[in-house]
Amino acid sequence: MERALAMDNLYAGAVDRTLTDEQLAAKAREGDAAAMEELYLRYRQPVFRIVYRSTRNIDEAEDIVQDVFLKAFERLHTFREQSRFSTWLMRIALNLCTDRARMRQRRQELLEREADHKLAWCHPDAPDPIETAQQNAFHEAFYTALNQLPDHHRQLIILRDLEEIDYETIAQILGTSVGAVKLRVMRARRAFKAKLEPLLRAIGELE
Amino acid sequence: MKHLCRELERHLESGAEHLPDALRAHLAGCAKCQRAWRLHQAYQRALQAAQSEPTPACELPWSRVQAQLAARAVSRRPLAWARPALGWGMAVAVALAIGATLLPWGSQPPSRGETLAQARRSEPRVPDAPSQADTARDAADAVRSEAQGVALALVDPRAPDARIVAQATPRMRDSARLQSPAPETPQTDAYAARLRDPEALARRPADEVMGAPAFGAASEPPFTVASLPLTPFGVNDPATGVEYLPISYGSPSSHREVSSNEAIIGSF
Repeated sequence: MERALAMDNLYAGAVDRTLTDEQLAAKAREGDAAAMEELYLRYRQPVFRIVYRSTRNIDEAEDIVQDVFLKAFERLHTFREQSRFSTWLMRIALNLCTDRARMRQRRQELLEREADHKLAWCHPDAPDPIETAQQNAFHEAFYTALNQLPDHHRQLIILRDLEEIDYETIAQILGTSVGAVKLRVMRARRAFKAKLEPLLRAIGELE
Repeated sequence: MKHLCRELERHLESGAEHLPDALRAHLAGCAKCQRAWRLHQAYQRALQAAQSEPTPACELPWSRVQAQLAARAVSRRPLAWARPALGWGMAVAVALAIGATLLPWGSQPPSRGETLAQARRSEPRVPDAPSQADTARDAADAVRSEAQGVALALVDPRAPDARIVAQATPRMRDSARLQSPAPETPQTDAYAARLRDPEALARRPADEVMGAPAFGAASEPPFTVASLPLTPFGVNDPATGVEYLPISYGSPSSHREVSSNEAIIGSF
């Protein structure tokens, strides 16, 4: 009831842009729409970048970004200020990416089963051959290998190696220790290299 | 040697870009480590290429998110009152279920032995009251004699007690027969008298004869049709003149009960 009333105040006035994330989150929790908007504008692109790295599809990434902020604003009362708002938001984004990746994988398996692997070339998500030839083969090999990784490895490669987020922040996002994150990153890199090696050999990047 | 190979591998996996001199010297002479080093360099190049790739801008406007938030808030509002109501409803349902479970234990019906004892205690109160079985017998006789061979037994609505008496143990039958029946009403007497009148019986609709009450006959007492009792294996009941098969559940029909409290029920 309290949250429903809070949502009634969505059309509120401007907000002080010098406020910290946590101060804005406190205002947003009380239904301040301007604070919500400020938080959205601050984190829309960082969240989108991480999501896009995972999905490689703009429309799907935007859908996930919307879901991330909807979920965040609806569950703002569960946000304890023990962590930063940004890490809390990233955790929601990663969880939603994982959910979406599982759904996508299930859908793709179904499609492939239906087509009996004969029509894979005309799959809507399959890259266009001509376009693929024009694109950088390096990118394709990289993201192909990345998508073959399990979720927990892929997330760490994106967070640490692509987004270059420091270990402490990753530990906060994942809710674990720095040492554990370092160990997991090493394992993720090993797994990633194992996937990447044959692809790089295929395009002549490795002898 | 293997120690250095493992150290180089860990060094590369930790993301270090520069190798210490010792590892660099080892790398010059180890083919396996050279392969790992080349893979690492290719990985770094791929990373740099991926990082340099421009990420498209997110064009999702705040207004869309805001509209979704508002829509969800509206759709969830009815649930705000429903949740506590649901909780109270569940609590009441659980309380009722517990009450329904515990109630039979608190007010158990008397056992069969107690019923018979009560019946025995009630014997002296109504010593010579006419039994309902007599009424049933009269009705059956009337139909048998006047309906020209139609094998029907007319039973007063209160007469099913006679069947219960016939199925009960002998002592129970006696005690039940001594209990006071419901007084006969003038309506019942008139009905019995009408049954004895052949002309009235002839005017009666066929449905009524067969047991179904006729339209407009709501004032008359309903009666049921029963098959004729089998007489060769009778219960000795000279008072009624009607013999019924003794029914003793869970035992052959020839079984005789030893005492009134030892009726066998169940276990077919």
